[in-house]
Amino acid sequence: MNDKTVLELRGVSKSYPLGRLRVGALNDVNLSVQRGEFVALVGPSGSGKTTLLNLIGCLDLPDEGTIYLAGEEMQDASKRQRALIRGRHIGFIFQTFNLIPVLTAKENVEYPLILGGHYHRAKGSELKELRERPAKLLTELGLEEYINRKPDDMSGGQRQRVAIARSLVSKPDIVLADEPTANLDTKTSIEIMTLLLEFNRKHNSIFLLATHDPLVLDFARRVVTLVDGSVAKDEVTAETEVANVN
Amino acid sequence: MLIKTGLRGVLRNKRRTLLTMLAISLALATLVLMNAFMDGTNHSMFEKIVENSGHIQLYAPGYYDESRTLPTDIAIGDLEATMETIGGIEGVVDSTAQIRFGGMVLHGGDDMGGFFIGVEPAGAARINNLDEKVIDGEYFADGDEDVCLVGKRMAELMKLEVGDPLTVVTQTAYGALTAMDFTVKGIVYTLNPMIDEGGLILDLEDVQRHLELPNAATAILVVGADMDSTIELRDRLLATLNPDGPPIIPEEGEIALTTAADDDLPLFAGDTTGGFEIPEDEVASPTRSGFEGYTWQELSATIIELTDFKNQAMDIIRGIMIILAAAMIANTMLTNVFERTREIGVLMAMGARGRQIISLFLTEAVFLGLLGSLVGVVLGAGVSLILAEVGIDMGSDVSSMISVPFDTVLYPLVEFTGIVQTFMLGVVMSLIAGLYPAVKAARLQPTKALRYL
Ligand SMILES: Nc1ncnc2c1ncn2[C@@H]1O[C@H](COP(=O)(O)OP(=O)(O)O)[C@@H](O)[C@H]1O
Ligand SMILES: [Mg+2]
Repeated sequence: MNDKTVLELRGVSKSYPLGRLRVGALNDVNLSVQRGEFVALVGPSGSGKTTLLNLIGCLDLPDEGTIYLAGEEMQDASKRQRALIRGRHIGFIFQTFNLIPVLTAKENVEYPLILGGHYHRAKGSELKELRERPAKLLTELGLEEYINRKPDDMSGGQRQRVAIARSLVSKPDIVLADEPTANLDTKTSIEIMTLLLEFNRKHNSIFLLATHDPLVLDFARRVVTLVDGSVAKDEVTAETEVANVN
Repeated sequence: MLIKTGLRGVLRNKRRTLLTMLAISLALATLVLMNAFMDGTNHSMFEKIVENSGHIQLYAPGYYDESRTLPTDIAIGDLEATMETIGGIEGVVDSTAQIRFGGMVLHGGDDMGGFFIGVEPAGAARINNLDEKVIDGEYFADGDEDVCLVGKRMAELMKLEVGDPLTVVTQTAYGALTAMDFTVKGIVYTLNPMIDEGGLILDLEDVQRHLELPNAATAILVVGADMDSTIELRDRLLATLNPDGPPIIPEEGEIALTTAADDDLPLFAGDTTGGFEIPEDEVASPTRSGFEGYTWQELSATIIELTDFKNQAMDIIRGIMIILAAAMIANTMLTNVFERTREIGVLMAMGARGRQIISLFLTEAVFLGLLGSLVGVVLGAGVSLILAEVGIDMGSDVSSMISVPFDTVLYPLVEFTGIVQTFMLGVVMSLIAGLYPAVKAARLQPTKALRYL
């Protein structure tokens, strides 16, 4: 693994219990993703995309194989350590946005910072920047007027933008998006994808998007195809612009 | 922020939250009301007891053990000097002497066993409020001789009315049979079943004369500054009254024989000269030197035990109410966790640790508990205070029914510490009830929680 490789999966398998049987969801997956890559994860429904994102996101552990995040082996991390890794290094975007309905847009975006104890650890100008970050991020995403609104008062596209702000607020190394455009119309989907790509370029973080939306493929720099829990195809469709950034 | 989310979480399902809070509030309000009732009954009962008995009763040594037989030959002598001494002891507010004895009441061919007390009219009015207990006729007055007050029920049974004559047959302190005639001056209703059911109240001076107990009494009622610190006062009284240490109670059969001149202890009523000589040392004196003392708590030990038993029964009811309220909270919180499973998954994806999830849901439970408890105790205290103002008529036969001095109108007693305790109980209960749902939430598997629809 060279030092640009932030994410590496070796021989990862995962199955779920189904009654007395077990359903294989992933079977011997090998994958390595470099800093700044913008990857689309495609495949038919049930091919294991969500399962793969969950494993990478430390929400679950593989039955077999190893996942390395920034060179660290995840297999041995405690529940608490994995929670901390999720809070500091990983951002999630969901198909159904999953905003907390009782909180305003700003509060939703702020939540990961509070859960991760970022406010406690920061001091001085750093703390000031942290406190201003949620509103700034929302403004950048064109949600200035919605900062103090609750999710119920927003459209799907606006909600997904809040969710994106929430996933990016702690400047994660990896952003995992599960069908981020599935509940959006084409116009909004293009807006959202443009935003994600912009952030990918700006922050150089890894983006992994599980999707079967062909639109997403237009934006992706690399497409990994899963079939029945195995990587069937892994092709670079455009030059990752990481090299151009630094 | 966690707290804010928690609070808003509570407000998510307003109807369920309201219902849960209502349950907590009602449970706590009932608890406060129950406590107020209990404290009210106990307080008024204890006040009635103290009104009857004073704070401390002093007897001649050995009297207490025999008190069921109402002995007149275990008496306190040299009463006037003794009363003066007692009055000078620190902490003594008031005192009065009594002679209690048993016998028969005869009237118009009817007869009935009775309990008789000779009281000092002024002292009994001050300490026992006896003058206020006269429901027909009048209380003792100066110049009265051989008049009596009759217990209400006894008056009914014996068909006694004010002005009627009656005869009391009893023994003198020396064991001689005697009959004395009294005129009914008043009917009393004291709430002391002993008196109301079969009691006569007489003037101590008349009793001393008839029972050959001049300047003597069988009991002295002492009242101190407050009804709680009675043991200290009793110890102080006995230390002064028994300067040579606790008196030795004579065994049966070795009753102390008087050695002093018996000039003022005539053998027969009205006989002051003595018909024939009886060797001085063979006359058993009814008075004994030395004192024993009992607090009202000791004297009413059975009633107090009964109260404790009643309190325990209440504790069980209290426990059940608390468990019901707790079950309600636990149920609401479980439903909450269940409904927000997906959100819990999202929180976990955002890096929430187990402890944070637990505190989020505990905050909600405690918030429910705090608000519910607050409303509950305010409601309970409010109702109690109103009832304390108005009073609750329990019907007039309660007293005789349970044969315990008991006011017929009950006034709930609202005590601040009790209310605070109940409030804390409510909050702590919510915390405990919320713990299981909160832990359950924290134990959710994140991927399963996220898949939950
Ligand atoms: N928590 C789970 N319990 C049982 N089976 C699961 C679970 N998650 C996924 N699966 C199964 O694993 C397979 C892969 O699912 P998933 O990763 O969701 O695929 P995709 O996201 O590509 O549609 C499917 O057969 C699915 O039914
Ligand atoms: Mg999926």
